[in-house]
Amino acid sequence: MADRVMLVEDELFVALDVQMTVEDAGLTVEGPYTSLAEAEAAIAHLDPHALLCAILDVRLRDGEVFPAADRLKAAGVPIIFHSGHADQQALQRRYPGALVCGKPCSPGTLRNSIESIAQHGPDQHAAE
Amino acid sequence: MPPLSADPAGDSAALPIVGIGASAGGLEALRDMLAPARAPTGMAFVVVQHLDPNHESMLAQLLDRHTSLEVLQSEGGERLQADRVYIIPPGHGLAIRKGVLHLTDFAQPRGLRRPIDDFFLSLATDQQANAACVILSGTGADGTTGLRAVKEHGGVCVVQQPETARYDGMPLSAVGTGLVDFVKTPGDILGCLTTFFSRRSGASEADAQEASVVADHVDDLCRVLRTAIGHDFSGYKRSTLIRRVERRMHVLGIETGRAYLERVRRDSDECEALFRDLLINVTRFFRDAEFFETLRTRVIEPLLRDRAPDEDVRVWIPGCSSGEEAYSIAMLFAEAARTTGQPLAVQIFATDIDEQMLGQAREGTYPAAALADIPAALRERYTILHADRFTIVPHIRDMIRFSNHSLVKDPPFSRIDLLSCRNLLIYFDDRLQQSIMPLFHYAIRPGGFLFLGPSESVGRFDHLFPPIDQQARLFQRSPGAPSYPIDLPGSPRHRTPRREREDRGNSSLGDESAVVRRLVDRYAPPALLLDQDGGILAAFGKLGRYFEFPVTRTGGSSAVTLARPGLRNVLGPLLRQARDEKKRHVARDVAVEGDFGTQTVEVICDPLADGSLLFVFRENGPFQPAQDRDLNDLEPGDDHVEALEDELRLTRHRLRSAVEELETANEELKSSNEEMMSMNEELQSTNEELSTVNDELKGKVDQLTIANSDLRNFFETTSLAMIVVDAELRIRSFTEAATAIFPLKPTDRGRPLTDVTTRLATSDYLDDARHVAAGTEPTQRRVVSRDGKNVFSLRVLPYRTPAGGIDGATLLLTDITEALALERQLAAERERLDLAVKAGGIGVWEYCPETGETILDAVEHQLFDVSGEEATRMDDLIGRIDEADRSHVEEALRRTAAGTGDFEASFRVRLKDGSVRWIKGFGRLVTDSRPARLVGVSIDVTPEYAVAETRELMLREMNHRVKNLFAIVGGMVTAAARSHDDVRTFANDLRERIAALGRAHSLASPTGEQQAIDLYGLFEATLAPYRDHAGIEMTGPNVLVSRDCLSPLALMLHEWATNSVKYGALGAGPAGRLTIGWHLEDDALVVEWNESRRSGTQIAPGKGFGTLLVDTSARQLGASVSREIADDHYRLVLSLPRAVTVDG
Repeated sequence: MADRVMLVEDELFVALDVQMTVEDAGLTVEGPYTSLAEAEAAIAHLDPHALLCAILDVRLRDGEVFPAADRLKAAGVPIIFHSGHADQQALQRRYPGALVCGKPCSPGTLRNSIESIAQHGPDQHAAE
Repeated sequence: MPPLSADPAGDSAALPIVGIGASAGGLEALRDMLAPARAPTGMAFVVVQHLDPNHESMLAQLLDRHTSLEVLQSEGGERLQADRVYIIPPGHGLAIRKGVLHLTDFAQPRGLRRPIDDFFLSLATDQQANAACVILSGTGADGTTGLRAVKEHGGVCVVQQPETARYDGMPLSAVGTGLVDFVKTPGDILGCLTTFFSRRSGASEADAQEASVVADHVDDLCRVLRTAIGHDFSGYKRSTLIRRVERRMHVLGIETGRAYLERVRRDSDECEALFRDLLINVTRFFRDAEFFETLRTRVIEPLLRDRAPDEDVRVWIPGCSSGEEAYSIAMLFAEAARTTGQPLAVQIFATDIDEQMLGQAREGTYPAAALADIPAALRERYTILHADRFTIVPHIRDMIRFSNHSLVKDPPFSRIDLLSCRNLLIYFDDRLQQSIMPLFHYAIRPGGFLFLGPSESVGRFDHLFPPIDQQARLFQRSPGAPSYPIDLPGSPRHRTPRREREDRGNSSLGDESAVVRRLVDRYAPPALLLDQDGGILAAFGKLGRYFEFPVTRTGGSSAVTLARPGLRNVLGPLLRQARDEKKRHVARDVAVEGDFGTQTVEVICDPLADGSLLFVFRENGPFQPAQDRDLNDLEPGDDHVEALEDELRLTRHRLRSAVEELETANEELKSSNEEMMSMNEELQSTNEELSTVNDELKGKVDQLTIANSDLRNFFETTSLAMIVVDAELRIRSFTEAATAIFPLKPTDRGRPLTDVTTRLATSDYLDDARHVAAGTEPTQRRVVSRDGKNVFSLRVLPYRTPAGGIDGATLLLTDITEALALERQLAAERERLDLAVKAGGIGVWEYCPETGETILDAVEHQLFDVSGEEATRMDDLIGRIDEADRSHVEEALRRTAAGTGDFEASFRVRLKDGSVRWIKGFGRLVTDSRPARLVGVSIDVTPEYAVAETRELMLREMNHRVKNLFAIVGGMVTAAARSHDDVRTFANDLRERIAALGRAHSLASPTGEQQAIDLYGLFEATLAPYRDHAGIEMTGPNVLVSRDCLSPLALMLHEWATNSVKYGALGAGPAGRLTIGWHLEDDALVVEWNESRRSGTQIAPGKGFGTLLVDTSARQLGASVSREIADDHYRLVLSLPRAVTVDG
């Protein structure tokens, strides 16, 4: 049973907040990773089956998160974008099935997104 | 059946040629006739008009304006082409040979020329069935003879309706021949011809089949004709028959031989018309004149010379047609008799089967045009001219008996001395020709002569007719008994019983005549056959007792003169009475005194049917011998009568010479008149031309009048000052406006310009005018009025005559004072505008959408970063524009060029160095420009675009920052909520932290551009609330740190400051001391926080929300924090990575 949630967020106070929300939901946070480099390094040795989903900030200190997102998408990991500036429609065009939570995002919204993935499973969610 | 090649239909593909004859009134008729012509007509036209030889003809030009066909005056040598009209030139005749026109010189003097006839004759022989002749208005009868020729060769003939002709002489004469196919109004003639020829060519395509169909019906046609007319054509040449029948069919528009046969059967008029057409032949006076000369010397003169004293020379002319040949021969005889002084004892029998032709022949009047055929000497003596016709003098006329007689079916004349049968045999087929020859042999007495046409021969009967002159076709009958051709060529088919009876009678004539002759000689009373004038025609029995023989030359053969006294005074009255009353008369008891005595006789005069009178002398008493031969007193009465008659003869002689003199005078007058008439004719034609030209000139004069009045109006109303001078600078004319500069009055025309005062300051214009009038180039200069107020532009132009020469000069003065002012004003404005454009960095461009060419000014060159060639093509410029913008720029240009709106577009231009320039362009279509032109300006708007971009970027950044702050605040709320139980403290703590964040963020530049924060400023701002709590000391170099560090550093400092308030120096009142120092190390920025410690307070690090904040902040910054706690002071060392600093 996948119960890990990968978190990529360069703002640590925000990461703290998200981590708490995730942990409140009974899940474990993988990360938080604060840069694209860290995130990519982590994906290289993580077991995608152990990941329930990934919560990604778009703009990181060393670039945009998309290379990492592409790899996660290829591995079939559901993605929740948590971003303050990203164009929601562009993101959904590029990553069909991905959820987008605009920053700042209430913990409830984030929790609902995670729960919906947990309930439906990655496959059903991707098919939505 | 003739070979097909001989059929005229065989060459019908050739171009039909229409000869048109016209004279007075002809121009109008020609115009009407040719006006409806529309090429292709498929015909060529040759116009022969009587023209004055001394006057150049404008006929061609005049006609050309009224017809779409090409009209040209012939120069000789033209090969005729379709849809062209050839006009005869003045002073020449026209002839056509092998389709080529030739000019001929007239043989006859003016007045006797017949150019129409001449041309029609050559047209007929050259073109055969392709010839058509048209006779239009004119006086006289020119064309009538030619018409016969055209018809004889199978051509068609159309004549203008005489009522529509201005002069109906020529049309009437033509119609009078009875040979005309169509009589039409001028406008209908062309259509009629087109239909005729198209029908004929249509028929020729049906070709041999059709011909044979016609041929099949020829026999039937001959039968019908024989029944209706009584003449048998079955012996005529087939080819001629078929050709002429076909021609009739084309005229009527009948397609098949059968239909035509039906028509002929039904329609007696058509039957007559066909009969006439079949009989067409050409005859004229002295046809083949040289052969007639041979005839005169070889036949006529010998015949008269060798004539037996009591016998007339008998001449027979079968097929005489309208009599020209008969009259020609009669004239030759008369002339021969006159010159040799012999009596004119000649009888001429002229016969034909065509009663209409015979009628013309008997009348003996012919168109004056035919006069030319008669040799001049004969013409004067034997013809009488009346206006446009002439008649043959009566004594020639009386030599000839015209009668209806068929060579084919009627018995021939006999004892003929000369038989002239010309151009008749050619119409007969071989069989008929061969049967005619024995007939001629019978008719001509031994030693008599036969005169045939040039293409005829005696065939195999040359033993009967040895030739005298083969070329002239003159033959002499061989001696030998004539065998009467019992089997007349036409006789087996005779139908009338009368003829049959006559034939039977003829068969026994040989025997019977001997009996009759014997009876007359021996047993009948003596008798005498006299003509109506008393001339002895024949004598029977012994007449010596009543007449004195032999006859003397001087007495002639007058019976009255020869009669013996006693009979002489009876004979005359008896003859007159019997002749006049046409009844038998008798004179009884006439005592005839002979040499030996007196015999009483009864004289019976019995007029015979032919007009001759038979006198029979019956003795009714015994002969009484003379009682006394010496007594002559019984004759006084006789002497008296004789004297009277002598006197009468003398008087008659005088009368005749008087009459002859008169006739000569008359003749001369007539010939003068004739010449006048023909000149009148020509003058009439010329006059028509001139009046037409005159009409046109009148039109031109009207146009000129209008043009002149336009010019005058222009001169009087124009504001242009203009003076025209001649080569000597004398004023020719000037406009009203010129008087403002030169005080001219109308009377000044003709005065030299040099004498005229002027308001101009200089007199250079005089030199200019002189030079230009002498032929130099036009000049232009600016002149000022004497008061200096007005400036004029003076142009001096050469005055050109219509011929192109220069005769004077034209001075044109235009007041340009205002224009100059305007020009200056414009120049000033332009300068201002240029300045503005330059200052505004505005580029100006022009574009011609049609050619794609552009013109750019220097600024525009720079804006587009183009030079040289590439600046002249819109395509190259468009290539410069960023791809994303190209299409809308092009679209905008198109719309503007189409005139639907002004051009306005913003676009990026890629410069050569790779950078991008924003340009905004405005443009508009120049109205009234050909070709269409766009003019516009461009401005560099790159800075504006840069500002806008920055602003957008900043807004995005601010938005991001705000959201980040919210996220941080959110995170802090979450984290703080876990470590606080008391809401009030929780809220207070949070408020303080948010306030610290706010203070720190006020350091961040509002423009968003500044990425660096002064470290000192950050510390000061963060610690500002605690400034009065204790002594705070900050030392360190000027260091700028990244803006990213702002929030974590601020939170960390705030945490430390609150702790210090609670436990450290900041809470210790004025005695507390806080020192903050920082310095840069190799790879780090080290910040030291030293504070004096208050005793008794304890520090519990590692727990609580504050610690979490500090740890998280340090992690965020990648920094490490170390703490030292001593008794009296508390020391924190923050080691930041060097990367957080920013180079100022």
